[in-house]
Amino acid sequence: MHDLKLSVSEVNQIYKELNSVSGFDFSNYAFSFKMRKIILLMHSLKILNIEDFIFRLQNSQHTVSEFVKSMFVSYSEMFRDAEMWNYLQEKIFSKLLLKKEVKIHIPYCVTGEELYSLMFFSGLYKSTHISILVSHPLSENEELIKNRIFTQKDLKACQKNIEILDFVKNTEDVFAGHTNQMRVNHIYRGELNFEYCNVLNQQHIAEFDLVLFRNRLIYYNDDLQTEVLRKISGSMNKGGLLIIGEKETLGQMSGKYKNLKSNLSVYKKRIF
Amino acid sequence: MQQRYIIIGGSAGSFKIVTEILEAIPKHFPFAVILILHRLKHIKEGFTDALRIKSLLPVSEPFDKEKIIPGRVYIAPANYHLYIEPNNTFALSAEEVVNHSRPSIDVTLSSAAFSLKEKMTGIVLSGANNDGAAGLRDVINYGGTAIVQDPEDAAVPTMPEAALKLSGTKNVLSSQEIIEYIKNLNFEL
Repeated sequence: MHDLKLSVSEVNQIYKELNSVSGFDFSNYAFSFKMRKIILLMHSLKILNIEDFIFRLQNSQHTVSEFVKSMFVSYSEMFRDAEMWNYLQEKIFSKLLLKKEVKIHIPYCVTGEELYSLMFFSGLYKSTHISILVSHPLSENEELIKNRIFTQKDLKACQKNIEILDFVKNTEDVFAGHTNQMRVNHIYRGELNFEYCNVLNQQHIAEFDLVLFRNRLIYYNDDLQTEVLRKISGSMNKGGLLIIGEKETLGQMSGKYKNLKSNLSVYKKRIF
Repeated sequence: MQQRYIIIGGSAGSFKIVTEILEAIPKHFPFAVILILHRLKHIKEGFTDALRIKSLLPVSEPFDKEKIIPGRVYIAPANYHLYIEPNNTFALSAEEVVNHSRPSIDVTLSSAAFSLKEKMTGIVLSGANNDGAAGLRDVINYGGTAIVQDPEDAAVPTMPEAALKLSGTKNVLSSQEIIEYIKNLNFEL
């Protein structure tokens, strides 16, 4: 499988075909990521040349669905980058979540780890005036996110993160239930809404106080990153907070934001 | 002189040779050195600093979309895969672990093999799993240079043995020979 050699034009051809059969346009995703996804799928299907692969895309909805799903990388673990969650808890949530009304947006939710991490922290406050909007790019994942069940493997993935958190120390403080059938033991009292939406198509204007958008920009090329950030920026209140992944940058949009802490990617939208 | 990239993958037992390599690289080394080292995902502070003090070159963990600059040492950040893009930039990814690792040596070497072709040298050092083997095979397939630390010289031979077996490279060097190769690389071109 790994002997398979693809050219740039072949990679582009495959994604053009994927767009044609699925409606999902990944043309402006990072190239190496796109190529790896093709190779992994061809390997799993035991397909050795692109002609056969394209034929499969044209004739198997299941393959198309698997391909699209693989492009929307799920979050790797709850409380990823625990230092960031500690900072949010200590410096941001402690003020923000005491406001009369708070609107939070997760513009790109695939399997819910980021949402449940946020809901856990939000649940530490008594406020019922928190509203979280969850946008998800895969309609079939909405029920999975709403009823997210966590397994022992999920717990193991986030165990070290929990040890670093200032406010909890054990997985039992976060999860409740039986082996491989656990839920986040949160007491979130706010409003929770879901929408099936591509970030670029969203129509929200200047309404969110906090946007949690971590480790998504890494899959985009420069053009798409700028376009997505422009859309997100338009959806935020002046002075609203944007949180991206610790190794992501705002690129061309950096002038629109002020970094609140140098080693963490927490940004405040500038008021011009 | 053609731009060249040295990509080194290491795991258990490789830290010593990595520090020796960094100590040996001269100040005006004209190529980028990219280190993919298996590391604990929660240990962020200190790891890069420990390598930085060994090197005369600037050492950093790249940000997503950062341009690759010659004469610098880059270390794959903890808990991310590191891709090398055809436009001479880094791209990061939080995809699933590969060979129980994130960063995975295979992920970086395979993307670099495609993007850099004959301009790269991939080196697989000591380690306890098979990571790097498939990536090194890609390096050869795309015309790059593949080097494996001699398993007899490696603290943990599993990773170099696997790389040797899968890639079939003839370039099997001891740690000292790898250091000499890198130091003299600019004179070989």
